[in-house]
Amino acid sequence: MSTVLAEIQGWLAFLDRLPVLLQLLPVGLLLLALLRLRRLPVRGRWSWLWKLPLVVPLLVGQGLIALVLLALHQRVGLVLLLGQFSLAWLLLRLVERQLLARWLSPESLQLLITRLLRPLFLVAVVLQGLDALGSLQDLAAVPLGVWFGGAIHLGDLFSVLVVLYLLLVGLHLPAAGVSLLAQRGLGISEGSRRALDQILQYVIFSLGVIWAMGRLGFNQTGVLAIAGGLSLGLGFGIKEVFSNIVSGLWLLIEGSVRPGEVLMHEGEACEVRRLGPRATTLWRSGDNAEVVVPNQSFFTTATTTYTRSDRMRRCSLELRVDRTRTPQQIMELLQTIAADHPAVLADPPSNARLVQFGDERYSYRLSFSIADPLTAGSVTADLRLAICRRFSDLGMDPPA
Amino acid sequence: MFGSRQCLPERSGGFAGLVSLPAALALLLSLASCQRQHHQTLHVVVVPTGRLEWLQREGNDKIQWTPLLQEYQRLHPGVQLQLSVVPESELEETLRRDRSRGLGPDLLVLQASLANALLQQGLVERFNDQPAWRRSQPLLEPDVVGRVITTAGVSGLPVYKAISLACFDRQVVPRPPASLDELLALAASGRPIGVAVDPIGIWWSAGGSGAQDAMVPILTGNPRPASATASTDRAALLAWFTWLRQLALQSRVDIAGGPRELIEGLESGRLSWIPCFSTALGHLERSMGKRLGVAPLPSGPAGPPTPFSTLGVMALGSDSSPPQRKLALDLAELSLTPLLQRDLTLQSRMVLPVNRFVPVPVASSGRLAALEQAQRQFNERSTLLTASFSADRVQRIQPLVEDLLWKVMLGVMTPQQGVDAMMRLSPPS
Repeated sequence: MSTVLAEIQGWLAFLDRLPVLLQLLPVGLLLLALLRLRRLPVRGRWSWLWKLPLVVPLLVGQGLIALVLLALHQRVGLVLLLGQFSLAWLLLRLVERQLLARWLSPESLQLLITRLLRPLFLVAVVLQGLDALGSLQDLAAVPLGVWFGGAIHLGDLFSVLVVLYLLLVGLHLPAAGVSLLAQRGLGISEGSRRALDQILQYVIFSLGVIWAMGRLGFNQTGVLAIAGGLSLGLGFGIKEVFSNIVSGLWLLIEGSVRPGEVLMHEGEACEVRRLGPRATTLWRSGDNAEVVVPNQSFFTTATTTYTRSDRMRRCSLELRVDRTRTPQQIMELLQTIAADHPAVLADPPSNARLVQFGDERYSYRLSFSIADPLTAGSVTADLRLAICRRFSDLGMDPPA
Repeated sequence: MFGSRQCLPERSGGFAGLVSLPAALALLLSLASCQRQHHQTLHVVVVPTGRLEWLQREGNDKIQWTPLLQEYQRLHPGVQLQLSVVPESELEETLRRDRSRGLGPDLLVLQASLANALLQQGLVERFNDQPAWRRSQPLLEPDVVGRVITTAGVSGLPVYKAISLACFDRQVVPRPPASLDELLALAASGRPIGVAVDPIGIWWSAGGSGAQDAMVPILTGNPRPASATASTDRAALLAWFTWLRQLALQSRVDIAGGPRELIEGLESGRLSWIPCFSTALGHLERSMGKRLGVAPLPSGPAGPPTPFSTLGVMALGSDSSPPQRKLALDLAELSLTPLLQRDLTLQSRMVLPVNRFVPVPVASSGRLAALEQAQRQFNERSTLLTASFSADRVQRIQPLVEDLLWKVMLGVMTPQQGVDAMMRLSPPS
């Protein structure tokens, strides 16, 4: 580490050189001046200037500085390098806003920008800068010590971290592609496709970790030592975390809870959005909330699902109706109302039953089937409203 | 880390106060000032010998500089030396790029021929403008001085000499061949030997065959000496090519693609005798231990061999500030002091001193004796590297000559056809 710090300290020696200062000072001052100008109130005639991204005037300014330095027979390589960074940033912004925004949803675009594009840009700029200041090869060869039998160098560690990060954030797309192909080729269900997607991501990332350990030169003894340490840790602090991870994997393999399925959670129908390593994210349609449930809960408690073999859900509602009409009339009326609702399936047919006698009112239960289990609440509410309206039209008392 | 706190500007008024033009200016200048007052850094680029660049991964080229660097840091405790290795193939591009940014090295350690070419292109500074040159020149051997003088000036300060010689496996070859005939006999006896058609790998045999004087005009483009005629050149080349063909006909002779293949062959035991360059001896010693034997290359009927030699020089970068230039000159001058020249030779046992007042301790080391003898052979016979020549022509003609040697050795051309083809590469008389 001291070698790296000494290397960085050595770069300050370049500030002792006049050609370097002649390049860095104008660009630095330009950047600061632009930042300060941006704070001033917008002027009418020049308001369009304030609307431009900061990098545009910066790029123009860097070009002018380079021209002036060239006219004075001074070095301009650093200015051009900084200009390249500005230009690359401008192009990245254009690609993000003009191209990707057309094809991707705002959420996907945001994820792509913050997790992949801009980190990659930052890494590329840092590497370019390091290459300009010193030798990347020499920096990569800086030893960091011996870890688990392997001599670790800065370059190896960096490349391993970059690959693992890319796997972590960039695996989604290829895994989704393969699972989609499998769905089309093998005819697997949507739930199985999503499960396959997740399993592929886990498998590829695990392979990446194994590659990383090999690349860093960890020997088997070292890896066993880590495993031993983890076992001890599992016994104490991270038992729950590990339990959740194993539960998640098991649920995926077993297929009992898969992304896309609808299940009951705390009395509410929820759709499984994502089965993560530690927790499952459910979407509750009633209030558009996302509920994060530790995987272990599905593993240790009974779960009601409406989508195990098909997505149809049988719903029912109970009501008490006065005795002015015969039970036969009421049951026919209820079945007709249910059949008129577009979301209620014709097969299996709706069914109304007399469930209890009363002194003034009889109790009935109307059962019906719907295709989308998440709409059970809204369809039931629609039917209650339709019953009230029909009873009112027929001059009957509203049901209780 | 960057010195005392007084060097940094005091923060006042948070970020807005800091991000003001005067504050930024002051920060940049104070960092530069801090660096100058408390720490100086000297950026040194080491350029390994062309076809031995792969040895750089072992830090081979850094190790031999340890005594010099330690002494320099003892004399200049506040100066940090930053060494980086740049392969010869990337040097010109790297220097051009760094120079355009003002980030070039303060000092370069490289071969004299390379330094000469860089000076012609304005990528290094003339050394003869420095008082250090006037002080150092009397210490140097005259032939060494001649190798750094170009039409543009002196390209660098000579520091060490490296030379090609024979490396062999003592367990397989108890006594190294002293002549070309003995080398043929060694191959005929079943000991595997390796050669390559590059300057280190086979050109040494031109001297023993008498073809050296014929090859110099071809490679340099200089006119043939008055004493030589086309017919004498043809006869010498035919003798050389005939021997090369005889060598290649031996079943245990491996014609390798370059020094790396030869060195790896010797290390693995696949080869028992190879021509090698002295800067690879450290690597070979680490891998072979006492099995490694070193000797001068075999002589021939026409005289001693013509080994390949390089002269290591320290050249000045063109971007240094005056204090950095002074530090670079101090280091270059220090490298010529007798004690450090001796340490450089004894500790590395791969290179020879250039200070003419430093004798090589041949009595205590067989390897240094071999190096010294090879260097003597070079001084006596190898007119190629001491002749003035155009680097462009050598770079253009070398692949053609290597290709021709391949064809002769592999039997694609007869020795006579090879001579005809080689003579066509001669400059017009």
